[in-house]
Amino acid sequence: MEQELISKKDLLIKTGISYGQLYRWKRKKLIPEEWFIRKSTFTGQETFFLKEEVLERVERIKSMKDDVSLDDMVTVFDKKPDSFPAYLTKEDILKRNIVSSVVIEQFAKKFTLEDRISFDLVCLYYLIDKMLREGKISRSEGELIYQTVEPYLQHVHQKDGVFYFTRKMGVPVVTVVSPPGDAHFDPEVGIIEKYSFHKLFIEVKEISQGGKKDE
Amino acid sequence: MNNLVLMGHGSASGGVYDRVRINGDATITGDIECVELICNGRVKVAGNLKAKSIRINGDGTFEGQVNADRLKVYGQTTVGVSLVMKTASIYGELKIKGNATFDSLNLKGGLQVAGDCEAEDFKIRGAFTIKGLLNIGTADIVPYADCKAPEIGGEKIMVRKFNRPFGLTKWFKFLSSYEAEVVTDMMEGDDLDIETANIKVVRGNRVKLGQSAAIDRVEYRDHFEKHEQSFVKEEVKVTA
Repeated sequence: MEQELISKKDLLIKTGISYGQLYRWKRKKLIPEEWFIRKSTFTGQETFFLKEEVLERVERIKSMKDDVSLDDMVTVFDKKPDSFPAYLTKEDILKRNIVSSVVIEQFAKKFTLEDRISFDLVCLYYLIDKMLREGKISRSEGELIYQTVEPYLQHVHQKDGVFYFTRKMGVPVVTVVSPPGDAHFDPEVGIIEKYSFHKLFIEVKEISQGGKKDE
Repeated sequence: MNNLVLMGHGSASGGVYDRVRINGDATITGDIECVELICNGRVKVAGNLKAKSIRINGDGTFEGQVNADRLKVYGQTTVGVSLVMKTASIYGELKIKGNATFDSLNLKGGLQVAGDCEAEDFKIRGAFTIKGLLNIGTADIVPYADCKAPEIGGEKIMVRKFNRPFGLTKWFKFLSSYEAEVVTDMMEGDDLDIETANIKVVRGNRVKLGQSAAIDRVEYRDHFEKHEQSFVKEEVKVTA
């Protein structure tokens, strides 16, 4: 997919930062080297960025720079969202006890033990399993969650999102908000569970890696 | 911890030491980590070097990465991969075949970097050739010969003309019009004060050009000032 580019000049005008700031942030590794795309234009060489990516980063640095020193900020950005494992096998899941066999049987029957199950999906299983164990939902409601969230998994992986499980007059409703934002329900609606997908991914990642350490 | 002392001609395999002292000619065949490395003469390290303080009086060749708090060179030093340094004072020549990162660099002589060069404090009395981007916080450059980099970016960049001893300047100028300058395609920064340079595009908030500045295009935001003898083809005020 071709993504929209922004030239360095436009970026500075749009965000109101100066050349010095941009270069300083680059020196502090707050803006990674790979983001600087050099292209020759009619005025010579120009530097471009992926618009969405860089605007978000610059806004975040601007909002944080009064409270956090630039050196500390690096650690915040160092956590790459794609550092999650790409998949786990069904065997891994059961062995490390990430998801109980009941849930696996219900949703992942079609996979064999050695099959690679995508990490997103594992997280979804984990979420359902967790809620089941806490007695917040019934098994058929688990099915509802699966049906609702599954089509958006790719989406929330890229952009993060918030998951809501609500009930009104005993009727369950599953809501996915992506990118993350606030959802407002009418006062009769009881929010049973609210979960940020990013938090969910990290939680599952920690469990799956924690399991490795035990071995 | 152990000290390593080499006198005369010899070699060592590397390792972890407290102090390493070389008087003469030595080759270290592996990685070495030490608190202090002093070389009077010639040293060649085939692996990586990590140290608190390095002093080279003579010739140092490091084929791997060099990582240190302090570097002082009287003579010549070549780094094969990359250099990460807090403070460096170079009297002589420093050649880096990869990227170089300094907190503060004070150089009298020559600097060659094949990759990118980053420094918070960049003080040059001499010349540099950088093949990648030169990214600096504050720069104070007095070129004794041409200083070349395709791209220079930073916060505060100052380029001053070198005042040669009186008699010499006269004769030199009389024979040729040559003058050492900073040569680059693009210079960007907040405060630019350039006395002698040959630049295609200059972009900055406050730009001040001196007598021997030759610029194709200047883009400035707040302030622009030029010497009457400077040469500017095009000047544009950029409004945010």
